[in-house]
Amino acid sequence: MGRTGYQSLQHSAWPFEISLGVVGLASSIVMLLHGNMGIWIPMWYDEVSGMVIMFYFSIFILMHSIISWWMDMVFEGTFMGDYTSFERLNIRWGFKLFVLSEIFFFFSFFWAWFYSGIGEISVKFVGKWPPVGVKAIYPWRVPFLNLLLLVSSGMFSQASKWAVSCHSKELDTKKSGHYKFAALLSMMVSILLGLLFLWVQSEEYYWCSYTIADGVFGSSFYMLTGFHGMHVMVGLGFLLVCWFRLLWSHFSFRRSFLGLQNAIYYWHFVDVVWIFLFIFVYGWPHKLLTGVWLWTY
Amino acid sequence: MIYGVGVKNKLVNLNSKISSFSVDAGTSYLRTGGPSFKSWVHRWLFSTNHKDIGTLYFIFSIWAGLMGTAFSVIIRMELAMPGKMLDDGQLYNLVVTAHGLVMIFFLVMPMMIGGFGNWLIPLMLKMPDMAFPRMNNLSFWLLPVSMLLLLGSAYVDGGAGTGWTVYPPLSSIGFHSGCAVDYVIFSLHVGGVSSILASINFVITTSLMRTGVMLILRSSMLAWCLGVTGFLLIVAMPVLAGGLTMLLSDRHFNTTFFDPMGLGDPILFIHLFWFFGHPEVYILILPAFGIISHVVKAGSSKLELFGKVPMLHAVTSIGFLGFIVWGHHMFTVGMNVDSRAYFSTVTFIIAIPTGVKVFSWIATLAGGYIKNWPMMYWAGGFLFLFTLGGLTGIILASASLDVVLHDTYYVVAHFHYVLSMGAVFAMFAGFHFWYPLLTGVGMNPLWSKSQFFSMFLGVNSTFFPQHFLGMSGMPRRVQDYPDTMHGFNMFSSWGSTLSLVSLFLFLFILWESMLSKRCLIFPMVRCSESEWGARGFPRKFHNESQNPYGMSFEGKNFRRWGVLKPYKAKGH
Repeated sequence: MGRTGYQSLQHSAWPFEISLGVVGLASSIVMLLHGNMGIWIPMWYDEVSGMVIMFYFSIFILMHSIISWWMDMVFEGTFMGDYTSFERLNIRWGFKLFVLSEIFFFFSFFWAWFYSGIGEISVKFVGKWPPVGVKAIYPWRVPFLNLLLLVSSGMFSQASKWAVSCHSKELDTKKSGHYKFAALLSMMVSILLGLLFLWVQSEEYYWCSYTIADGVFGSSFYMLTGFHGMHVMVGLGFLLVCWFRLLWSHFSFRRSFLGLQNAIYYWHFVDVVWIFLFIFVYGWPHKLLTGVWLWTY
Repeated sequence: MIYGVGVKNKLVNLNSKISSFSVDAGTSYLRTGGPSFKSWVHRWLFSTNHKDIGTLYFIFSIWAGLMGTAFSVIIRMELAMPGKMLDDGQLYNLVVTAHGLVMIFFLVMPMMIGGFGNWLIPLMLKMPDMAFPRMNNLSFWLLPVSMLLLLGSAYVDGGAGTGWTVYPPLSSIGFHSGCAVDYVIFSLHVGGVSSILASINFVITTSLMRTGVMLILRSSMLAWCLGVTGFLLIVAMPVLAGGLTMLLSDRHFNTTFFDPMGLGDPILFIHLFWFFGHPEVYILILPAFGIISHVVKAGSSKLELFGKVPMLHAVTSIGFLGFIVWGHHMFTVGMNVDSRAYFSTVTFIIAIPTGVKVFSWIATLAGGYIKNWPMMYWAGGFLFLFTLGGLTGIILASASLDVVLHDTYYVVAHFHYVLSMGAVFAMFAGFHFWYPLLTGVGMNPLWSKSQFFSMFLGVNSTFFPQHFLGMSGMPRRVQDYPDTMHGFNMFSSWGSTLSLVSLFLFLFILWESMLSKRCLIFPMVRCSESEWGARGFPRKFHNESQNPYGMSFEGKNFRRWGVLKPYKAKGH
């Protein structure tokens, strides 16, 4: 766009395609929730709910458009060099605002957790949290392991960012290859630790004595940890994409590693949410901080 | 403004005006060798241009406004006479719900933020486009999806008769067992995503995309107001999303967030909803404040708004205070008396920055040459009627009084004064001011002024009697009422018919302006209106191809007056 320092963006089909995917997804989910409403398509073995087909097709449309959009951003940024320092500033801060909106999404579920735990229905000094019959998970075994896994994963991802930063500054020297290897290695460790977290947490879910249907305790517990788990999956996906881009030297030039920075920022956010979960969702029902600052019984 | 003569007696092909603009739309024609279906799709479905997307938002929101008005007319038809007109109470509740949701999410927010914001912010900041042009398009295209889901909900399983606040247990699976409420939930989710993405765009554009001489305290009022609005949306909208997700899981996945049988509490939903809901109403009114600031400044022929910096601080404090007052929507749920005292107090405090703004607008008008343009009528109406609505809000802020007036027509009168006469009048004012910028043609000013008076009479007749109805105890969202309340209800319904006819008049004025094509020649505004500083209207497809360069006497060296310090513009 002339000499403005901002990107001159041509037409893009992806927003429109996303909206088509969203409408299909929303309607198919609603009809599936109401007992597979809608048309039934005869197949050779039996019948298939038309809504299931629409659901999978909408997921496909959404995945196609979202991935194409992000691929376009990689092309524009890394290969075409469209992203000036102004543009990168915008993208970095825009991503931080997006993470802020996610923080407030979790805020609402934490509100539900605290409201149910210390609110009127649980009647302080008379009622019990967790409610009678629910056995809280002991925080200093599996949840603490998960805490260590995520915190160390965050540290390794930060290390990979430092390595990339050194790598792109010293491109012509022999050290730069070493930095790239260090970045790849620490990012891989970070991803593996994240995957380990997911595996441990899924085992925890399997063996847990209470379910999502076990009153408001189960509901808020699984909503909080469940949404956290979804965010871990998304964050891991982002880190994995960054690992491949690192392998293909996308972050080696122009001292710009915006995608990596954003991925690690998101990963730190996921980590911080787990810290809060550890203290307030696992620790507090087990009287982690007795009598100091929360109302405990 | 000074216009050319226009076309009097023949219907000229409108396309000749529009296509001269769209030739500049450029590359899509280059690839196809002229206008074609593909170039149309590229331009209107795959757009990344802030003006085109702003136009799409305007068309969408005007259409939605007509639909919301239709719902409101049905409500007033029902309430015009005692007894029931509609056989089905559920249908009446559905119309009330749809009226609220459509007006808030598909008229006011898209027009103010998407329409005015998208068109004007890059022009006011003198930037080439918004920060994220592609995401801008996504924010728009999610809105028809959201509207489709909302309207679709009305046709299935009896519709969602819950009110726009969707409280459980009425919205839970026990009392709305069909898929209507689920469609409403998804509609609000999709609308929420659209708003959050648009707000990220606006906050980044207004705070980061400013050239060196454009200090943040020098940004235009509309840019600042939209930046604060965007921040409110980013923080508040996800809380609504969370609450709606909990409602959805309560309905289908055996959770008991709002069900006392599982130790849940419906009051939790009310807290979550209004933690979003109160910032939401400031989201509806802050852009209106921005528009009115521009209109009042231009209409008083002044170079600057009175007390611009205090105005900016007032907007920020209204935005911040809006997060800590949500309890004033919940005075009757059984909250602790001390909590009620707190919420009353903080709600009263919000009146102070709002008062700063109203007095500053009046001071801007004082001593200026007031232009006899239609926009000034709307702005004057806004100042008077929004103030009245704010005063009834102060009455409601007092917890003791609110316990009597909650869920009565007094509340309905209050928020319709601040919305239907605050936000909507501001939208009309902005529309009349900037319409020649958007289209290059002018609306007939005499007819516009008469349309203002007709609308003014209509909305005041509709909503003023509702104060008395509320004081005498008529509840909200009822299909029938005691016969003694007939008089005021009948008058109110007459008013709504007058408003409807005024709206038809507005549509006629809009249509006539397009076919007469009185082209704008001189805007007749002073040099401090930066969006008007161009050499032809409607504005071209692209903005300037380099950033402005400026010099300033103040800024970092503000103590040393007279030191000329050139600021290097961003880019070159």
